[in-house]
Amino acid sequence: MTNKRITVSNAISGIGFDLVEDAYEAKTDTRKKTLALASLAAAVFLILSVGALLIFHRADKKPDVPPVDGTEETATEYTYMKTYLIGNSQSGSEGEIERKGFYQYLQYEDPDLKGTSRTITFDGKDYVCKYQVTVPQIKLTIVRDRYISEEGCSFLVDRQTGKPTSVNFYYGAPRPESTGTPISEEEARRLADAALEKHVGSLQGYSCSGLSGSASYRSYSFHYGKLIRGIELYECLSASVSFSGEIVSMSFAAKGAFDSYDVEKIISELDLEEIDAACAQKIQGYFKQIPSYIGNEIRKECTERTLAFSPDGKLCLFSQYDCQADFTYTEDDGTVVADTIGRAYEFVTYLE
Amino acid sequence: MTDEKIVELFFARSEDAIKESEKAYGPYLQYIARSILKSDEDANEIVNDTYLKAWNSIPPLKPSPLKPFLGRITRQLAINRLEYLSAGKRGGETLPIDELADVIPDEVSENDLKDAFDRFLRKEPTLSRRIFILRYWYGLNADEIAKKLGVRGSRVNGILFRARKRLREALEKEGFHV
Repeated sequence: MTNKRITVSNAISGIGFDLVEDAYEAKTDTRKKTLALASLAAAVFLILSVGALLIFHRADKKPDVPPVDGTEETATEYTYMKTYLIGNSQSGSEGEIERKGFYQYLQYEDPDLKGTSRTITFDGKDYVCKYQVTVPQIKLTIVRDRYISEEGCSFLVDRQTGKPTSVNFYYGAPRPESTGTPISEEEARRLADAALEKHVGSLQGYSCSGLSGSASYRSYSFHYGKLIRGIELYECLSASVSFSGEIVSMSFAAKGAFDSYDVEKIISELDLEEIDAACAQKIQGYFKQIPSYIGNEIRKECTERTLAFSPDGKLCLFSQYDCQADFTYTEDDGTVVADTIGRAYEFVTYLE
Repeated sequence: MTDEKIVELFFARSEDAIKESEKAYGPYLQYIARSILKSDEDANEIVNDTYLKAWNSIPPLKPSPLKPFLGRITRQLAINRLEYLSAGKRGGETLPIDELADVIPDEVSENDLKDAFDRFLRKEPTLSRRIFILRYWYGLNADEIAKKLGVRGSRVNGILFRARKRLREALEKEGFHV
């Protein structure tokens, strides 16, 4: 990076963090309409009568920006008959809330492995690697150790099976130059399929979603998931192929984790309406805690359902909901502003 | 857990410091790294490296609040990685910061420029300010910004163009000469 670019980059990095957070909090469909106080008051008076009193009582002060503590924005929540909350101290006062420790994606240095080396064989080639760090896997009872080879390859090795579940061939090494015409996405896909099939056998049952080619990386990325009745299994694959056709990285998350389960049957017996209703009730409760929320309907959409495992090894369904609701607040100059808040909540339902 | 408590854990060399940092700020740091690198796998690595760097920096540092401290580390590590990966490539995607460098004077100190950016952004309309920061702080492209904010991609580009023009004018008004 040139000196000027470093200067510009560092200067941008140092701007007030309130501005940085405000941009992050901005949401799709945020319709910020500044309305004249008089016209809004008239409309509210005509339409809502008694409700208007409540609105002005609850929305008489502009909430801090963002309207709700930013930590809630990224909080992850779970339910098992009850709803559990992780990482949001605001809700700590609820009796049923407790920390369940689902998010275990926390690296740590295992003192027993620190400074050790081992040889990892991958695709018939031996790599002499040094232990770097231990990384448990999200939503799954798998602990993986990361090793870095002398050539600069990174391996995540499943501690239980001793086999690599992820490899990045150019983690710490320069990639080969690919200055010619990039290979087509179809050709890259064929190479990715072939590379993965060597490790997982058939790709039958997987559907592939190609991520757009990354010009920065000069590569194509592919994600292979197993989707059953709209529910994705946490067992998935991925591969990256450079524009010149080298396999850059591969991963095999949760390979075989569901082999002992009749997944089709389990999913067909799920009562998603009941799960949705339980989650919706909880979401309603969270929104009620927002002081300036005016009671409008919450727009909810389940954006993702994933079958996975809890840290204690139990089969779970994770459901993620994107939610939005309208609210108003009053600026210091008396202007009433209508805005929309958005939240994402993730719940877990034990299935055994 | 409060930032103060988390920092205390760092000082006590307790690994719970990493755990609590992840709980409080993990998704946000992931968002920063993913925005810049466009790769979940690399973003995971950068976030992990962030915790390692924080572990090695605290103590002696005692950051308060913690979120900006961690966020800026993640951003810097992600940018370094992007630079490393792009090094020597011709025609590849470059850091969006290049767009800005064209309207920035050559001889300016980092601190002066930081203050000038801050002043400029605080005067910008909300939408323009958010788009500017999403582009140049988080590294999102126009389509990603459009999707996040619910506006058209062409509008994002137009707003960025005009914002850069105003930035240049603002810098010139403050005595910087491009």
